[in-house]
Amino acid sequence: MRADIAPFLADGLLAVAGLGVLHGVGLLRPGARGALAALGLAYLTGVAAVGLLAIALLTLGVPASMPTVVALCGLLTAAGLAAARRRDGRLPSLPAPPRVPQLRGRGADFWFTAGFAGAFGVYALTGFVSAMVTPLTGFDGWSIWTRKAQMLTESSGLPTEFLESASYVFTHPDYPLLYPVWQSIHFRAAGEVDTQLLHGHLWLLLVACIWALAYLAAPRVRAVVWAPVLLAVAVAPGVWRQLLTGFADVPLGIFLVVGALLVGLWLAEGGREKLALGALMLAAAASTKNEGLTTAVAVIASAALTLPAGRRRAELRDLAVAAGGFVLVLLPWRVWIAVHDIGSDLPVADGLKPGFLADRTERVGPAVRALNANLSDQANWLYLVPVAVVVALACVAARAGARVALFYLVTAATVWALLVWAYWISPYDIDYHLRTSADRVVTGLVFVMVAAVLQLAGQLAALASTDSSRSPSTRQS
Amino acid sequence: MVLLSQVAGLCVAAVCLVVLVRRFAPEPRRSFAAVVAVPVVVASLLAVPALRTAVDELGDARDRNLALTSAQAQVQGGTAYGARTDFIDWVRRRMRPGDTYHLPRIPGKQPAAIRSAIFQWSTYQLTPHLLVERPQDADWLILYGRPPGIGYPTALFGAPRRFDSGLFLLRRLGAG
Repeated sequence: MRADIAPFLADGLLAVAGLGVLHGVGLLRPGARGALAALGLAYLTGVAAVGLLAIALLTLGVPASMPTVVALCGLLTAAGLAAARRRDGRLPSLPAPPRVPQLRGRGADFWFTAGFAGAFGVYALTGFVSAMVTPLTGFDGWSIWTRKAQMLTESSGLPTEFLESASYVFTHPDYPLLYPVWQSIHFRAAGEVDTQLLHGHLWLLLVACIWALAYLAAPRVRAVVWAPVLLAVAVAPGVWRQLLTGFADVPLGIFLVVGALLVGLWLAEGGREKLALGALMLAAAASTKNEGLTTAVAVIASAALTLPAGRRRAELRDLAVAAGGFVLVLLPWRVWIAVHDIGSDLPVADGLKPGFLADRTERVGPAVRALNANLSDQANWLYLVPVAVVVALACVAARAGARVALFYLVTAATVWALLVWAYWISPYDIDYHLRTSADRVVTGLVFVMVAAVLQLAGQLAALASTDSSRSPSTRQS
Repeated sequence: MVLLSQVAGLCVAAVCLVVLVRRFAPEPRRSFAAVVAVPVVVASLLAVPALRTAVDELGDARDRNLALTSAQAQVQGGTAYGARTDFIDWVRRRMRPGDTYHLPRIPGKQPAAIRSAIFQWSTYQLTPHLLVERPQDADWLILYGRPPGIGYPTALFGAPRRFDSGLFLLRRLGAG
């Protein structure tokens, strides 16, 4: 009984902690309906905040036990309530939903929302029931991530003897720990390591992601736009098939898309609460996989480059503070692996030397072809990337949120270039490395482009509004 | 090139929409709102069949996986590579908390990638026991596909216990 129910109670605790954080920053509408609407975003926020704090405590020798997790959830909830009280319950300016034409007494958006809820509900339930009995068969899923989760579960702290041992170099001990810590929370709650049950909770991560994106998009984008896009994201084979392998790429993408969207919304509308939460999500992405770190840095750098000129100084300061917080939460793990002399298999320092790069240019062509082939595999990704590019170009041409469009385009180009660079400097045989990873490493980039589609399609749709004062964007250029 | 052609194709569709709508738009800039039809139509057309495929596949996977016992499901990752998960489970049940082991690389005629996968699976299934590099540092010596008496300091270990042909477990003399 405990093994079946307790992990879901742990999810509930994480969601409550996330609600506390959202309430504290002012991104939670009041009342039960507000809490329900924000539940997906709350769960991801709780996972990110509790996970990052747990990692920091682990590096200080504090085990990520259930009492620790419960205490962290309580702390975050209390801190959120205190912050909200200090703000006197004043919510930042949340945009009013856009006006819609009526159709038989109900707006078209009502029917799209209802249709989406029905279709997504069936899909979510079917997927959950299947996931709960799915065995863990993905190679990296068991060899890297769940192995570390089991080590964390069985140890009273960080399993130093495993992480430092040359015998386990194949487990990539330098990889960040958020995903194993999240798994370990469920194993500890269950009182056992059940790798079938794990997939049920992985599925809940995906459901939470779609829910979170709908929560962020709905006040700004008509349901006619966000509903089919989010349904496509949810049912894209590249998303759900990969999720159920136990690899970390979809969990990475989940934090990236929410983080990128929040930063994009901050660029368009302002509001430090979006930037703060976006930085938290990007830190969670950076703590899930090393590609998350490079993508998160690309998001932050692109935001700095595309800030509107008129308010540049004040908002660069806010962005610098957010970036500082991002670095701060990542430091504990980075310092710990440096102190314990745990290195990466990628020669990053060499990768900045022109001579080193010049000696292996034959790797670039295959890397470019493989990445593009996987990005253009629309059997997996349902045209999400090409659509995002077209929508971004239209925004630039129409001068409708052109800076935000540039933000997404620059981010995507930077991430793509960094992926090519990673293969360029990798010590592995290029064919082997591409064959075993290229189809997965594009996941983060695809998810960032999902954020682009949601936000930029909303900006384009707002052009058609006859009442421009209802536009969700308070600043554009 | 395929990605570029996909983007180009959708750009053409977007331009056509903008041109069509322009004559009706109160100002030319607002005609770009028509581009929203691109993500809406593409997502709608592709999501519906993808949803149906996903629901069917997930349902079929559930039916297949329900046939597995919990114990079988926990070791599916290894059986997929032909690992002798029963042998590793037998080894694990004989180890005490904190025991370490040495597992030499697995020989055989199978491709190196498969043997490496079986090796890694075996170490995963033996978690939280620690794999050590040298047999003389280990509490247990696991011989997977290797005969006893070769390649390790035999004086340090007791008599091999045989699980099956080519599968042996040896305990360090004086351990515990």
